[in-house]
Amino acid sequence: MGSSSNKPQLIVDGKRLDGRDFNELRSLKIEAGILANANGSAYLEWGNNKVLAAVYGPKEATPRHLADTSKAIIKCRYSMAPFSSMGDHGRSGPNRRAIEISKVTKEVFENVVMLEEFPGSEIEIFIEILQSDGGTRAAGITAAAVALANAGIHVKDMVYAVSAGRIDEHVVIDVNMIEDNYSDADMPVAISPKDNSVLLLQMDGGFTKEQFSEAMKMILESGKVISKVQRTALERLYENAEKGA
Amino acid sequence: MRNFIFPGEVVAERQLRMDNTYIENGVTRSCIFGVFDDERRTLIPLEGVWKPRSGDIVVGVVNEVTRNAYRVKLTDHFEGIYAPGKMEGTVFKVGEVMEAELGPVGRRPIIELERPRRLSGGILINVKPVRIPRIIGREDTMIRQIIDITKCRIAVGRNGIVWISGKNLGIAMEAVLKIEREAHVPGLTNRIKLMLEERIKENKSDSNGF
Repeated sequence: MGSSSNKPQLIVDGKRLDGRDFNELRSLKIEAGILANANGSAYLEWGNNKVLAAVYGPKEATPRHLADTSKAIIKCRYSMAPFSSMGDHGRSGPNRRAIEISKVTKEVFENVVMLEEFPGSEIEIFIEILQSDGGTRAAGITAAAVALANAGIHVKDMVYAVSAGRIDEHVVIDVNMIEDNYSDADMPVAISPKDNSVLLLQMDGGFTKEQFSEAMKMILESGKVISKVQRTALERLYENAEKGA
Repeated sequence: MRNFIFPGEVVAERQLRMDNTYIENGVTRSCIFGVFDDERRTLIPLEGVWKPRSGDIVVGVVNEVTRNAYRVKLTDHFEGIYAPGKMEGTVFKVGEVMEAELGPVGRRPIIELERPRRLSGGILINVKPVRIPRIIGREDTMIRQIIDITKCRIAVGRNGIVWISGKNLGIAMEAVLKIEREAHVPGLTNRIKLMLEERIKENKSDSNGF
């Protein structure tokens, strides 16, 4: 959130700066299985965000003292490429922000991966932000969910994440960088679509009770679109093989 | 009717014991991305990791020789251990390839191996473990076909490692990789047969020309 004194006008003629409606997502494209050396991978373009997610494992947990004999452990690394941002949004390298996002992402997946199936092993999730334009943690989680399914790791659900925001009194979905910087609130949420349970909810700024309900409604509604794109990415892997046969 | 199925999707509105599914609140859901056959009520995983079972045939590379046992790398997570009895004379060296049967499987990632067989020469290829049943085929039809046509020696490990040796190993390898790619497309056995026969014919005419 930026200071209100230099806040640019984010809504013009009832539309957002990039011409979207309040409940409109940016264009979303996902491609699965693009890295040959990873067990599972996905490349995602969400508006101007470009994200690469890779999954390795289950493999031997290292260092050994981290291994849990009753279940697998998840390691997650969210990282922004040095060339990914415009300087005023996020920073590259392992910094406080990246460590925080890695931690919350790991906790999202600990809720859906069936860890007890591979005791003593580790599953590594890597999320590389190649280009950022706001909402990269949501984009990273959405891409990593596809990479996990692509790796064939047993998961209870294919999660998605998206952020909602508030610009003055308007609730908006999928905030971009400038909205993220200057909006009155933003709230990335990760959802398990099978029962709409919330796996991540962070909030910067504030919503009234009504605005919060409206934001959650928008998130669940847009989740249907995001889930469909995730599924299509996996389907396409096999439809292409069918055509080539 | 065969449909794609995704993690979290409902397989049955009641409790069903089926591989690659889980039960929650009395509902059976898929935990992998696969294909669900409505008529046969089977879930075929398209992506998946190998879960060892006792009796599985595996192929691996010996990566450590200790005083009384051989340690064999099976996957990134699982390791096989073969401890020969006093009367058994089989001696392996580090780097040698072994085909063996899994002994009892517990919760540990180290699994005892039984009845090892040395595989000399040849090449190893890694395929997705979920494709192994397709590479073997129903009642071994697919793998028999490849062996019969290419005259190669092939060992298929459930852990996703395939060992091939013989004059036409390039052709056999191409067939195995084609099966891996197109495992879910109907009519695969015939397509593989045609491909193999074509390649063998090309090979023969090439060698006649020189």
